[in-house]
Amino acid sequence: MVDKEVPLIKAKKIPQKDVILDPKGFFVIEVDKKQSEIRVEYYSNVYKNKRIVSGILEKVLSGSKADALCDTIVKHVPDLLPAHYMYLGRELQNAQCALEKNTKYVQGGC
Amino acid sequence: MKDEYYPWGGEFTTCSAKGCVAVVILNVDYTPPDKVAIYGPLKTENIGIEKIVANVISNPNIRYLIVCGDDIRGHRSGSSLVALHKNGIDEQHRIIDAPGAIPFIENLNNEAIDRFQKQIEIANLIDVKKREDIDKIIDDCNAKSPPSFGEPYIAIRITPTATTLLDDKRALHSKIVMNYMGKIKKRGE
Repeated sequence: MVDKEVPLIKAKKIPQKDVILDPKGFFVIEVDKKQSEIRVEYYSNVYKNKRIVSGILEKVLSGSKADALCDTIVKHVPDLLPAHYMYLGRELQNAQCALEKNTKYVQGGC
Repeated sequence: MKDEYYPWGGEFTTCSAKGCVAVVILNVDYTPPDKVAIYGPLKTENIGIEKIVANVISNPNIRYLIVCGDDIRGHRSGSSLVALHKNGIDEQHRIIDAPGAIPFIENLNNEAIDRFQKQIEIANLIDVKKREDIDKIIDDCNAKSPPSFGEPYIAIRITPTATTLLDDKRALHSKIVMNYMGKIKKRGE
């Protein structure tokens, strides 16, 4: 006898071309090895002819740990798309690894 | 080095604050000598260019900007930087005659661009990749020993804010001292 059935969902990556850009803006992530920190710049979108062409720098967040940066982004940059927060979590973890292992970090796509 | 120099952080390396040369490295494996003021890569034709302009004009000792290496495919950011210096921007903030896909300047005002055009002389070494050729131009620029342009121009200032989170209960609890009866003896200061 089965009381309850729960779906098992196989993970599937959304192709880059199908990623929806966040209307709230975008982030530039850089590793500053001299300062031993990760710097995250938040930009609001600039549109020309209904196309995102650049951004206005709104906030800069810095820290050395991905978890602290994630918490701080959630607090200071609310209402992003859920997938955008998850992307930032992945990228910031990569950035932290690069900082700790002294390797090159290049921000990846979604 | 003055604290005001290079206010907009990025993937650049600073060397001699009194140096008169900045080097923009496009698609080339090259590390400039220590006598330059600052060097770093350029990737995008919008924010990447803005950062270079903001940081270069913050140090009035920088009088030459050398742009070297193969241009970035698609972005054409090196050529767009040269176009900004030559032509400025139009009323839509687009770099005039820039070949990049989206060469828009949104974080700098016209005064900053004007300052960039007046303070800096560009050495266009796009497509040049030989170390000795680039080093020679750096030496030639240094040999001219140009005077400082005057006061730094701070196009953007990133101001640190207080980092203590008042709603962080862990931080608050760590400052509370309880007595043996479980009553609060002292709260955090």
